[in-house]
Amino acid sequence: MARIYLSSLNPVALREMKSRVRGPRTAALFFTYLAVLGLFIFVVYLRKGANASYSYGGTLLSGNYGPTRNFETGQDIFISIFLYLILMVAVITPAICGGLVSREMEEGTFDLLLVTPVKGRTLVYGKLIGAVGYLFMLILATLPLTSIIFIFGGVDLEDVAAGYAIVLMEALVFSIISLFFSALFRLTNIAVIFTYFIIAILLLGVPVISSSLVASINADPTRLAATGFRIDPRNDPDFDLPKRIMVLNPFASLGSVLASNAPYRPSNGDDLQMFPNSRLYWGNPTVYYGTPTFAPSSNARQRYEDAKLPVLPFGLALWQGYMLVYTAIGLVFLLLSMGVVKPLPGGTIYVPLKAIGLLRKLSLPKKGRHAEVKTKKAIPAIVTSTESVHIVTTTLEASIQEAAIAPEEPVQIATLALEEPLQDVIATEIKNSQEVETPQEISPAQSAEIISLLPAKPVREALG
Amino acid sequence: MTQISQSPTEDAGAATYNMVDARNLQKNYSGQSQPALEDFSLTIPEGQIFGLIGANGAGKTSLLKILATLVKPDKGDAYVAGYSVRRNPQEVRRIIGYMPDHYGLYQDMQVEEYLDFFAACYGIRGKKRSRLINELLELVDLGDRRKEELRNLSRGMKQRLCLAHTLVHDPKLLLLDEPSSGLDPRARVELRELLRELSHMGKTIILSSHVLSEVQLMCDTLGIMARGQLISFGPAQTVVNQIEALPRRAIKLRVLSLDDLKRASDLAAAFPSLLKGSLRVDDQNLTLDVVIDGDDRTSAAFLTHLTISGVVVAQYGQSTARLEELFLRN
Repeated sequence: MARIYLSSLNPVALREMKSRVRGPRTAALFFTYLAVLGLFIFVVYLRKGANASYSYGGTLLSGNYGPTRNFETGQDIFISIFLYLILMVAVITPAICGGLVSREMEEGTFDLLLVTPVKGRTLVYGKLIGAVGYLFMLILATLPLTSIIFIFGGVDLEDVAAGYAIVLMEALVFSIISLFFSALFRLTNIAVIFTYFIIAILLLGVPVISSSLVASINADPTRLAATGFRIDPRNDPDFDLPKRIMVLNPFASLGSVLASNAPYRPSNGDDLQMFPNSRLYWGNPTVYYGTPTFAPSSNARQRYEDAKLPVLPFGLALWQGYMLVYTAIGLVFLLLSMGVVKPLPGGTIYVPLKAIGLLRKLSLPKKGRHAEVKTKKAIPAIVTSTESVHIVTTTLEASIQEAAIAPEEPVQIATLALEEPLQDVIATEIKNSQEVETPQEISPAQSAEIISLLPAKPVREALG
Repeated sequence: MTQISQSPTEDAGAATYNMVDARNLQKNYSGQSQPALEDFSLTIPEGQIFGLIGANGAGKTSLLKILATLVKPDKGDAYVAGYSVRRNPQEVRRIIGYMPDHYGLYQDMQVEEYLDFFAACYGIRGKKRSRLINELLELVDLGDRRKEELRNLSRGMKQRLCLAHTLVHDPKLLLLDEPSSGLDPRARVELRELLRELSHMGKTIILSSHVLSEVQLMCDTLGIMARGQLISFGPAQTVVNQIEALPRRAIKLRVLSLDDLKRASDLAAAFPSLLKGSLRVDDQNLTLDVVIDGDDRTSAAFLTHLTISGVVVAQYGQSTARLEELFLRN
């Protein structure tokens, strides 16, 4: 039933899905990827220890040797699973989506699709449904493994839902970006490279930029932060601003999900730290247990400030901000790709072309005026030598073409400025050059003979 | 620009009308000095099989792509059943079936699924679709291969399947780019019969080829293209006669050894009636291409000359790949 429905609604989607799951490849991929995740969870569990409510062994992620509790194991497994998924999506998405459009072009199947009345948006949606559906299937296949977390606790159902939301959103947006580049460059390799580049910026570049900006603000001696006194980011937004660009980063967003579940934190709910119990977060590492008691201007105090989550407008958590920002990015790229996929008119929204056309319309009058002035200046040079007449006529033509608007005007100016005999020279020169350009490769007798043989009217006109 | 009827129904009401009406088409590709199409005009009445002959790069594919709404002309416009390819491409797409020169197939699909997919793309639904697919498979003689994956089909079968897919929406006009290239003689005969059948069904067909002999039997009308222009156009027999009446012969011959090829090219270069600069030697295929000033007797004399001089000629025949030289060069 679903097959029939989808096939009428979006044949492209059905085809994409079919060819993706066909063959042993998909099954093998699913098996390997779930096996690796299972092993990963097991290692985290062993390292953490889980025999009693207290055990010694330290944690894989925090490296914090000391008594650990079950809920910390649960939180560590949560973080491990979703870090794994975020990385997996970042690695797999360009490989899956980089060829969505370009491979069809490379293999020559795209022209066949373009001459059908299928609309650009049907193509884009169909391809996305196919690719994103596959990625979602990969992601949601981890649900049974994720449920292990609830044996240990420390993580709510909402937290797991938020974790999946982050990963699914990442998969969706990266697919759209990938599709856009695939349609834009029409070459799979280049599309894949560009998508990886964008993903690298979002995943690695953003934290580096953010933490280096925070560090540079810290180094500013005029700021209170440097003196070690506690700053409320709401009173000093400059300090908080560079942290806010972390909404672009899925890792940081994931960290913020568990922030409110940290075992010990100050009674003031605003002081949420990224990645509780762990050294694995952006900025300077903080191992934070218990209510902080800092001596003024201590390094620990500074680190504590650095690792605090940014305060977003409307009291949004970092991951909620991430969801909003990624939705916006996804929508923009979606609109762009619809235009790029099927650029010919006919039921297509072609945003970039329309924008370019509008810009051209706005900029043309200026260009015309400019060219006209140039022709006036060029005229004195014409009269000086008869040899250069040919060159001059060509430059004149070029500038007329450049003027594009009102070509009569510059021509008039040119002819008025010329002396009588020179005008004749130019006229014959133009005539000659035209004669040279048309190929005269057939003798008149022969051409007459051939033309008389030709029955069709347009050919006779063209040759005769 | 001439007057253009905005509503195509005006034209459609007439008993016979021009299925294709190309007016002053101009197409330049960036980076190429020579235009692909230059002030190209062409009209084809409904129900004809039109063969477009020309060497590679003569502009055949560009013309077909413009008619298929894949490429926009720089200047001019073309009308397919009264619809402009510039302003009404979506309507044009419902009228045409296009088979490109080099096309790909979704290798992992089955024959039946492939047709089903394209039928769905044209918005054909439900029972009508499955009935249509059966009919099409019957028409192109692939009925017993419906569950076969496309990668396992032979070249001729792929060609027939591709032709079947262009027919799913019952198009009035078929644009076939080099449909007979790469087919063995038997498959070519099958294709010819298939096209005849389609023509009887009332479809207009435009097909291109760079070999005249491959298509001259299939077509009602022939057009010869060179450098983006039509240099000859008319009923098939007239055009063929006209080429035979030309005081030129383009000849392709094949020898058996490199040694013979060398000698043959030396002899050809010294042959008085050879058109200057027309000698082309292909070491790989051991073939020689020349254009001779003269009629059949001159070409017979050339062959005799080669044979007497001891060159063993394996094949000797007319070449239509260089038609433009027959018409244009002096």
